[in-house]
Amino acid sequence: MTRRSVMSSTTLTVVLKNFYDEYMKNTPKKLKIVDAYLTYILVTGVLQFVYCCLVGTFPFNSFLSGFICTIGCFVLGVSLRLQANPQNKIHFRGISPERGFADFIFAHIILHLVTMNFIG
Amino acid sequence: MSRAALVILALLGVSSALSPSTYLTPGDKERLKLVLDPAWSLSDLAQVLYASAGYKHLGQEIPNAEGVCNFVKSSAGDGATVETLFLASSAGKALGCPIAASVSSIQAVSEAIREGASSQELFHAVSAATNLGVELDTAKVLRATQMALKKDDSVLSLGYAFHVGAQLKGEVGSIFERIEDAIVQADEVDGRMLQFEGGLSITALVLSGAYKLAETSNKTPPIKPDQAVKFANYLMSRKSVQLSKGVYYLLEAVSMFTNNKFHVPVAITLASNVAVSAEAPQVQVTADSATRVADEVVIISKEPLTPLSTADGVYELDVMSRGPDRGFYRLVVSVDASDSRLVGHSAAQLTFKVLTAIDIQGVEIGTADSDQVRYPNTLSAVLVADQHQRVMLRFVVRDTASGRPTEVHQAFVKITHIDSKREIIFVAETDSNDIYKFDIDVSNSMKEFGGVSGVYSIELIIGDASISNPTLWHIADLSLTFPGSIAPSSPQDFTYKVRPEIKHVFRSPDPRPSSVMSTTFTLLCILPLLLLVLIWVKLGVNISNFPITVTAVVFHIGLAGILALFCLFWVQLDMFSTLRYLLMVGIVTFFCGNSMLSNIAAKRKE
Repeated sequence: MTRRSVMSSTTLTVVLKNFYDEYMKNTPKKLKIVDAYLTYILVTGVLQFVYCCLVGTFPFNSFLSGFICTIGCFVLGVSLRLQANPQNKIHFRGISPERGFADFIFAHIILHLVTMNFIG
Repeated sequence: MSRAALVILALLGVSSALSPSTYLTPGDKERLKLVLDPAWSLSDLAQVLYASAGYKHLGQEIPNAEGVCNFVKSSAGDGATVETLFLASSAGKALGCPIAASVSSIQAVSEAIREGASSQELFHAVSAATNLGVELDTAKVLRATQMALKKDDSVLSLGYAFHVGAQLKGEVGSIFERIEDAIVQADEVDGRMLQFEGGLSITALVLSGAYKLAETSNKTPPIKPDQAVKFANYLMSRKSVQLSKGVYYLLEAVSMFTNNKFHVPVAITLASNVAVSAEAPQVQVTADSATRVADEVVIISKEPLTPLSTADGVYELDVMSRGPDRGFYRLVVSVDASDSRLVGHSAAQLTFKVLTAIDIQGVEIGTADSDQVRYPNTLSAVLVADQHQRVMLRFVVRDTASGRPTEVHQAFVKITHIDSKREIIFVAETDSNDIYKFDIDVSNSMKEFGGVSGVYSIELIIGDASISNPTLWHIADLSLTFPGSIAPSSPQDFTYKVRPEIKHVFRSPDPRPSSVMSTTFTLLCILPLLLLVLIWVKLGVNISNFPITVTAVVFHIGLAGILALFCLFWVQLDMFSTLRYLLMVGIVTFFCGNSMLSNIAAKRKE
């Protein structure tokens, strides 16, 4: 029993380490930058959610706009990552990474305008 | 106190309807005249015809008859159509200024009577010809009429054909036979009215045509007496008509109903204050029976009514001399007349009520022993009762006319707390001898009184639909004592007053979290940004690769400007000014970003 659990935890660590190494080695730097952005968004969203659980939803529209804004940013970030990934080049033929970045910026401006309007 | 109730009947030979509905009262006639009056401005020939014929039926003097006559004559000049000729000549006839036939008008009229013309056109032509005194070829007209009826055998067409037939000399049996076809098409309404589809004008047109035609051919029209009554009922139901055309047709048909050889419907109504009119036929009026509605007691049977000398057509019957009990009665009246034309004159039902006065007698009120009170006095001493006693009230309601005790619909005892005006109402009920008894057990009725001690007033309410003196009588005052002292509730005011104004209250906001909490989380939310920068630094973001061109710098400044603008929008700006600024900054940023990114892309391709 003990042995098995030690085994499994070891395996998990090994798997995670392999995964991390693989990620650090094979992922382009640009994608890492985007991933860092996604992480930042994710953590911010989680923090807002924790605040909501601890304190309550008042003022509700502020909470909603903040939380939904993080979701929107995350989705846009993922989209940017998909377009910027060289492996997906075949799917986005004719769309350069620069075009993808421009779209990303434009969508963000719209998203933030709406968020600011809703935040109250 | 007894009030004489005379039942007066009005009987009308002239304007008529099925018993016991209604007839054209002088008020109705005045109103119909007002509807016709605008025609005297002499602008429309048809209106003039309706008005002059209507005035004739109403027996009114036509104002400015000469001017009207000249107007009519001038309309019927050379080149007038057949319809105009018809209108003008008919109006001339009604006005009593016959229009001379000119050569051209005679020619126009004769040409109009041809095979293929509609029955309305034929009616106009034939009427114009008759009015102008032009000889008609009966056979030719009949042929044309038959053709018209073959083409269109609607009720309206038949109605015109009857009028055509009525103006012809000689044998018109072929048209007379069609009366039955028209009458069977009438629709019955509520079992008491008959009408033709299309309303008043068609119904009146067909009826007057049918009766006129019957008169010309000297045969009884195939209309049953009860049908005649139903038609008359329909006409009377439309007596509030507002169009001069409708008034014309209505008056034409009504006067036809009062002046024909066959059917004259009779209206039997209770006479109102309005004096009633005209030529009552010589009749004998009999009250078949008068029955009390409540118990079917017959008080009158087969009594003749005496005609009133002051007004024609009004008959009276003295009911009070027979000492009727109070209540509602149903009177059945029949008219016997030697004139066989009268219809709708038997078994007309009328309702009247006999009112009598009552008085209240033998009133005894008290607790242990009772005191006598007489209406309308109030017992001088205040009755005193506590929870061990009963308060009792006995009285008799007596019909003053018969002198017997009687029962009334409503006999209530109202007990009012004098200080708080709180009312409790009890029902007094009779025993087998029609003596009203009412008693309250003070301890048992504590709930009704709310256990409030104090002085109460006792009032008696007597009411009934058939008594002439309903009564509210303050009999006595009563001091009640209940165990325990419950303070009487403050006097309640039941009058309607302005209620206090309703002020809108906004929902109070939820309590805010403590500032420590919110500040902590604000900082926590900013922290990941630091994390982001750290990760980026660790990853070694290549800032030195930043293209130092004007466009790149402006693009980044623009982007920062947009974000700053959004912050301003949150803090103070409104949407419109924000969008205006956003447009300015955005366009610059867009072009710079575009050139910067395309530069990068071009560099990458190299």
